[in-house]
Amino acid sequence: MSCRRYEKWISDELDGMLVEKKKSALDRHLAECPDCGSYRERLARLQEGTGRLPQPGLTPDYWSDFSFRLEQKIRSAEPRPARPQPAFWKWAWTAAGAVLLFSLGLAFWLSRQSAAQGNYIFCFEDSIDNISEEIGDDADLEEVFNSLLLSSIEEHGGGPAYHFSDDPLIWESLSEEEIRILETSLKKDTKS
Amino acid sequence: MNNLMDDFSDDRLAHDAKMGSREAFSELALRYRERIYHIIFRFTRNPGDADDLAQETFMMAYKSMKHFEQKSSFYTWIYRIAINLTLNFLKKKKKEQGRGDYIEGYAYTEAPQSPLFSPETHSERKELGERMDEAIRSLPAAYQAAFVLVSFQGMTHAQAGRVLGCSENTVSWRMHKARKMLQAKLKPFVSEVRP
Repeated sequence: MSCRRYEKWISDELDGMLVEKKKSALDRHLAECPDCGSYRERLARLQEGTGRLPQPGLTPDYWSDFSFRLEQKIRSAEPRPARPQPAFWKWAWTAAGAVLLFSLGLAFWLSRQSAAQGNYIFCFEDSIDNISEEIGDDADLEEVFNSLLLSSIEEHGGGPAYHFSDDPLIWESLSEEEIRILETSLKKDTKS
Repeated sequence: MNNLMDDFSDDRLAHDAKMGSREAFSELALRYRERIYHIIFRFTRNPGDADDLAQETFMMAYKSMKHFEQKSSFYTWIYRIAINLTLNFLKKKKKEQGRGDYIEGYAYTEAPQSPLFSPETHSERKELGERMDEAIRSLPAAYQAAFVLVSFQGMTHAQAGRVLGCSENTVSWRMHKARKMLQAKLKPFVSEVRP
């Protein structure tokens, strides 16, 4: 067997890792091989030298300070525990949130409803009032408006062939103003 | 509080620390602080860096406690953290500056003098120690780590393998190679010095 293999065994032996069988074989080889014997001696000195390497001199105060600093770091790294909240307050907050949400929803819905209704009434009445005011005593303008109104009624009521008798409830859908205008118009037509 | 834990085994303390006991972790840190510091110092040769890295090692261990599965001992686990942090640190440091500048500026404490050696041979031994220190630091990281754990910390090849995450055989080969490199570099010293 080559000396290279024994060199590996010498290293294992210094670490106390060589099995007895190999150790006997190594001892026999070392007795015969001066080169390996010299190599073993050098490694043994090397091993001995490692035990004499200088170490830093550290006092008990240093170790106290070391532990203190470590403790500080550990404390600051710990997550802060969440404050426990009684079950009653959890439910109270949930209920308050739900009531608030419902109230806001209801208020929004009511405001939408009243706004829509108000706008409709306002627009209708406002338009009729504005037109009536605009016409005033102007007979020509009144005539133009009446013809426009009639043509509009004819259009929405099914065209010129439409007869009021087809829908006896047509009057129900007309306002007082419209009925008055229609009445005036009919009187004029009757006269002419 | 720590006094109550004096009799607790490492496994018990590690289990308690895993469950969130800061006191149990502090007791483990107390047990291993010196060993961790010294092994890091063996690599860095700088007390300030060794202090920082030892603190970082324990902090990392504390933060990772919940991931520690206790398949290995706490001792093996924390050594692995220390070695990995230190080797990474040295890699960065090596890039940043030359190694020659790096080892300056710290004071050694004399190792106790062996009664086996005369004063003359002691000075030679001291020189050997300094040369050896330099030679060990010049080893590739994997060989240096194996050599430090086995020769300085007295670990078996199997224990060192667990720390380094390699097999017992790999450690054995690394030790063999490391010794060959060291004895080649220190041949004049290891050949001449006689007890």
